[in-house]
Amino acid sequence: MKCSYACGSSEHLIARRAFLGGVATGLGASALNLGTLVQPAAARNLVSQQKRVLCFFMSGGLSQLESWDPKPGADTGGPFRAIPTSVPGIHLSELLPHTAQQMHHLALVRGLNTSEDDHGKGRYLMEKGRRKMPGIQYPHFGAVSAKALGTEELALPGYIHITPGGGGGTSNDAAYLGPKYASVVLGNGNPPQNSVRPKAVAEDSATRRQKFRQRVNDHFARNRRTAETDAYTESYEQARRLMERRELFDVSQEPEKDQERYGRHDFGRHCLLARRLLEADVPFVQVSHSNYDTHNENFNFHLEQVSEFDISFAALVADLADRGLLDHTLIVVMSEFGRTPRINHYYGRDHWSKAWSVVLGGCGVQRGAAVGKTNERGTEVVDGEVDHGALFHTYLSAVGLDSTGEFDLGGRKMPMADPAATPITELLA
Amino acid sequence: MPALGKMAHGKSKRYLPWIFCCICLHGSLAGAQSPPSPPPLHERIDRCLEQAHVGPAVETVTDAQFLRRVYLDLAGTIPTAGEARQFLTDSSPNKRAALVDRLLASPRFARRMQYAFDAMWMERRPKFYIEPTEWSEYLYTSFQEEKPLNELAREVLAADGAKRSPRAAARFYLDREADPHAVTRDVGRIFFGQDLQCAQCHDHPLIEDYHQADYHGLFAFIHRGYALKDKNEVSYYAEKGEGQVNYESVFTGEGAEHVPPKLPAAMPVVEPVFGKGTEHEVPPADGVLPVPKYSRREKLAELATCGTNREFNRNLANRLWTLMLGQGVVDPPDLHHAENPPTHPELLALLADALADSEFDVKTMLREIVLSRAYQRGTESGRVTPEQFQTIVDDREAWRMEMSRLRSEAEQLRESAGEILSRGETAEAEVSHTLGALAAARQALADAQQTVVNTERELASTRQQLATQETLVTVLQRAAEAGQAVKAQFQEDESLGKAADAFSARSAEAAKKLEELRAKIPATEEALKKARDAVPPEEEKVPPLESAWQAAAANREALEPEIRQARGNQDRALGLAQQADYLESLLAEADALAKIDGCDNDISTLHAQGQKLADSLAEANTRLDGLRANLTEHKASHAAAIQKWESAHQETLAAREAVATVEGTWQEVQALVERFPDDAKMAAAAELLGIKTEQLRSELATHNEIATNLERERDAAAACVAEAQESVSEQAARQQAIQAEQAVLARRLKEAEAALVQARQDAERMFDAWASSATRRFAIAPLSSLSPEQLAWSMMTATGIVEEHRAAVLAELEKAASEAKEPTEEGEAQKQAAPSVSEEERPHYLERKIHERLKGNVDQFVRYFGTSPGSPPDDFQASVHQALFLTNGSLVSQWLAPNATRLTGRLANMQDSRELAEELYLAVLTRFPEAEEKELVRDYLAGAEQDGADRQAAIQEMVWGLLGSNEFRFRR
Repeated sequence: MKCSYACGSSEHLIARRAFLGGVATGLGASALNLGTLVQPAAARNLVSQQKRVLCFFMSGGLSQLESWDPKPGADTGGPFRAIPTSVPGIHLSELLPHTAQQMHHLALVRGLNTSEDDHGKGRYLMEKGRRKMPGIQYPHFGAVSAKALGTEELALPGYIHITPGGGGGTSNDAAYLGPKYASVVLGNGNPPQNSVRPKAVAEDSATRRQKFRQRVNDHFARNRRTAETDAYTESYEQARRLMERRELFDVSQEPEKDQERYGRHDFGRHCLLARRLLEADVPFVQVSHSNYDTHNENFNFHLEQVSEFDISFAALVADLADRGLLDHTLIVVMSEFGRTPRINHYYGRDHWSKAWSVVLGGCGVQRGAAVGKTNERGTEVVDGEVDHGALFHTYLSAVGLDSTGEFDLGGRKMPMADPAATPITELLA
Repeated sequence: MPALGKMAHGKSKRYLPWIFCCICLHGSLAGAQSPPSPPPLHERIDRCLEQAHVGPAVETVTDAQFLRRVYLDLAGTIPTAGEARQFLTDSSPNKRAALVDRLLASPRFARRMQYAFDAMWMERRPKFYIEPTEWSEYLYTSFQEEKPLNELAREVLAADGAKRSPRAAARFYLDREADPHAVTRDVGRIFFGQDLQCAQCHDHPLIEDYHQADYHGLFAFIHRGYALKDKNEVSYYAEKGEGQVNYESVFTGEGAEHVPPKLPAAMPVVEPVFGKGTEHEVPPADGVLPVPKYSRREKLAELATCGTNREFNRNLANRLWTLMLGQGVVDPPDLHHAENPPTHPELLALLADALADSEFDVKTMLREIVLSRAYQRGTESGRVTPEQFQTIVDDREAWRMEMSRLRSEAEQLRESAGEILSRGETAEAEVSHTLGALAAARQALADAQQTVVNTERELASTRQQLATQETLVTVLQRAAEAGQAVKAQFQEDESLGKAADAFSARSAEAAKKLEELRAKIPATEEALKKARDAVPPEEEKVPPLESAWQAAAANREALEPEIRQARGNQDRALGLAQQADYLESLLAEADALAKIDGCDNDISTLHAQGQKLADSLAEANTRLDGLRANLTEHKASHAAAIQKWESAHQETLAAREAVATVEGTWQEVQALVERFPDDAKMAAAAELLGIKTEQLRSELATHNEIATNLERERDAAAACVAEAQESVSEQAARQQAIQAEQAVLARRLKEAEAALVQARQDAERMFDAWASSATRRFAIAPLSSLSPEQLAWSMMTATGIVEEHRAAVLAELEKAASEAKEPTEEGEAQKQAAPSVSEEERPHYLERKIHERLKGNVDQFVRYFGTSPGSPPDDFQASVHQALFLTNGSLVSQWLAPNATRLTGRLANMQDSRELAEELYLAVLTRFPEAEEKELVRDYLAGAEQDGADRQAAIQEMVWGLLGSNEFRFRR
């Protein structure tokens, strides 16, 4: 998919962008059609400027040693080698050969210490940027993004979570931001719940009843109209637009070639779906990959799992870059924690949150950077230690938000991110 | 903050008439002197609001709107078409009050309260330890049994999941994960209307009234609680009898130790003291529910709900008001502080006192609230006309002065109150501080005394042991000696030898123990002495601290009358300031309307000026025309004069030529005559010529004269032309000047018209601002949305689903009854499912059964329309998921499928479109359709028929359209 004439250097990109800038503006591009454009380089300039987030959640706890922070030769290092990447000086585990070629779009945070070895709590603090407190709920990163980055015009849900078994329903992870920003959980090819017209209602009947409803509303609006009545009316309009765009959730509409390239498995299809959704301006897409909780046979499982991840992930990063989406899309690869440097009796690794890694990329991120360092055996952070709170601020800053800002919810002010933390500035472009 | 301490509480019953008098002062002094029996609460509510109101208010609602509103609020659903028809066609004057009483008596009322209090207290939190169904059942039964609200709150606040209250009441604590901080925050918010969370680590940065001391005072009541599971996996909210709260500000580093428990705006609690280790009847242990001798949580419950806690009463009254009116007197209800004051402090005081006087009877309170005009206000701000503002517009200056007066009065009151209240706060902090120190000292003393008791007990027990041991040793020694003797005698008997050695060993061991015990005595005696010595110093510490506390308490108590007055003044100041703010919005609208009038006036003036100009222009034009005609005439005369002169001039020239010719000839002839003097003929000719010449000369003179005259006439005509020309020019200039003036006027008119458009826009904006202000002050009802439960039940009622299930339950009952008469084997089973129900129990039985059948549907609505867990339940949010659920979800689709009891089925059987429209609108929107709506329905059906569409489908479309409309979704 890469243009043969484009060398990929930054100067080249800038020149092309300037050249195409004039062409692109007049087209009023519908992001949906981008997939069919022949010249990806032209497409780069047609994508909307809206910021988006693509988050990967490696369920169970990805081993940093078999991925982002390999320690070959150390007693804790395990059997896999480290390989060079497209960024000189940065090495990844040999289980990530395709991702290694995309390293120049990504950045590593290798000094993460979250001090939380429980799956539920670890996941909570990584996804919400705050430690779990009894009785108080904080919104998920996705809900925060949906609220802060989404627009009213967007008919699609602002926060979509793709995971095996997702039935298209909503979950309860938006806390005080309200259910409007909660995740719609997709998976197994299911569209969002209730997005199909019931068989008993004919198409023209559905149109007529909407019209009738609108007439009743017009009558009512003569003497009273408020922001709330408008919002309620608008929600039906959004529903209509979402139903019109249902094909968006159908990955089989993507070219055969891409389906092949991404991999004929759930994760591959889910990555391809994520690409479709991001192209359609959905502000936050999370893709989950299971299961990394390898207390037994860590190395065999990682060989299998990370290799599957590598192909689809690298394909998606490359496509986002080629299509110009990467400049507006923040990539995050997180987990609830890492895995112990110590290898246990079952060739497994256990829960480990003292020194592990996450990956960022794309929008607003210093690409090709590697921030933070662990010691030779990977047992301790020796430089640039950060925690989940700093990461959360960094994500928000990367997509252009003031991470010290507040949401105003009917007079109640809620800080977007933990006020006690600040962003990791070396990571921001 | 000011506080009504426990001692002061007894007086609060006398507080009510005082408040009432204050309100009456505006009205009549006579009323204040002898209030025989106060008018009903709803009248006092209206007096309160209406006295404070200036400017337009929306009229009270129609019967239909009242019906829908009061059904939703008291029964949690809309009425059926039948109920609506009955009420709307009832002509009795008291039908609204009668309906209210009917609804309050109906079993739906308890259900509605169950939903409302569940949402209010649990805020849609998921299950953690207690089954939500148990909790719901507990609430339902409580309301069914008309349990006073303070009693219900007491049970919830005291709950431990065991014996203190019904087990389900512990859900409030346990399903907040029993976290002391989460619980403290929510007790503050939900029961006292104050969100003290930010005051946990420092005084609230934004809200002056919220202090860290308030948070920790409340926290002290809570923090001894913890979740506990016994060996049967049953969870409890256990409480220990010991543990103290200490804190420090993260900002200032200041703090307090041994914080006595204290309710917001109340005095700290003086507590009994128990020596260390004696705090419990049943001490805490793994899996064991401890029983403290003194429970802070029970104290909290008691103090909050005893009927005299001002903050508790005000919060609860405000919650009830909010439930009915859609917005609180304090709004949001959990953020009560000086920056978010009650809109009408006297109303809040009135409601709070009335609540206490009603002994916390929810029905009494709600009945009065819904009978008020305030409750029955319409939502249709669009119906308020500019004319309704006229008196304000006319009297703007006076109202402006009133506004300033209110502000300065408020400012004065606020300042004087602020000074006293801050003194009160200092005094109160001193009470807390000294009490904390005193409690700590008393605790230390009790602990010291306990140590004495414990040591004495130990010493006694050691002595006891020693005595026993001495006896044992004596006996054993004797036995050992005897044994050794036996052993020596029967040396070959091994078993005897062993036994003897055993005795000796045992004896030695006992002796050793005896020594140990002996040695322990002096150590214990020493410890006892030490413990006894430790008591007096602790004892000495207490009295000074006690007097310090007493002094502080007396100091605070002395301030009480002033503080109480200051608190009243502060409330009054807040009320006045808000009234002034409201007046400001009213005046802004009045100014905008006046500006419209001004623009209108400008435009009329300009139009009048324009008319005048047009008149002068017309006149100028006429004159110009006259002058122009004159000019033309003069020009014609001038031309004629020129012509005349010219011909005369020609004639003169001809004459001059003739003279010259004749004269020449004459002169020649005269020359000849001189040469030939004798030629008579010639002389005669000469004479003749001379005469001729003379004649011609004279003729020439005449011609010359004529020509000269004519020349003069010509020149005179020319002068006339010039004069006329000048007049024309002058007049034309005048005309142009008028036209220029007209152009200026036209421009001004355009400007004035633009200003009018602007003024109209301003007025509209100001109107919106006024309307939201007036809504906030209950002069217009807010358009609030239906709760998820109200929406679900209303949709099920409208579509006939409730009726369908009622019929089914009744059928079961009847079947059971008939089978009870002729018992069969199956009948026994039926009897189990539907036992015979007495006539009296029947409504409750039906309600329960229908609820059981349909509550799953309600849960679905809660999932789509409810707020997130832990968020205030009345936050409105519309989402695409809701619209998709209503559009494509199977639930609503099923409800629209026709059958005999369902609305779609009933409508299908109606041939007359007017009849159909009536039933449709009554069933879904609880009102008769307007004429144009009947036409809409008729045309819709006709249109569907024309398109060859299914009539049934058309009916379903209309029902769906109405269900999805704003009118249905919102409560007006």
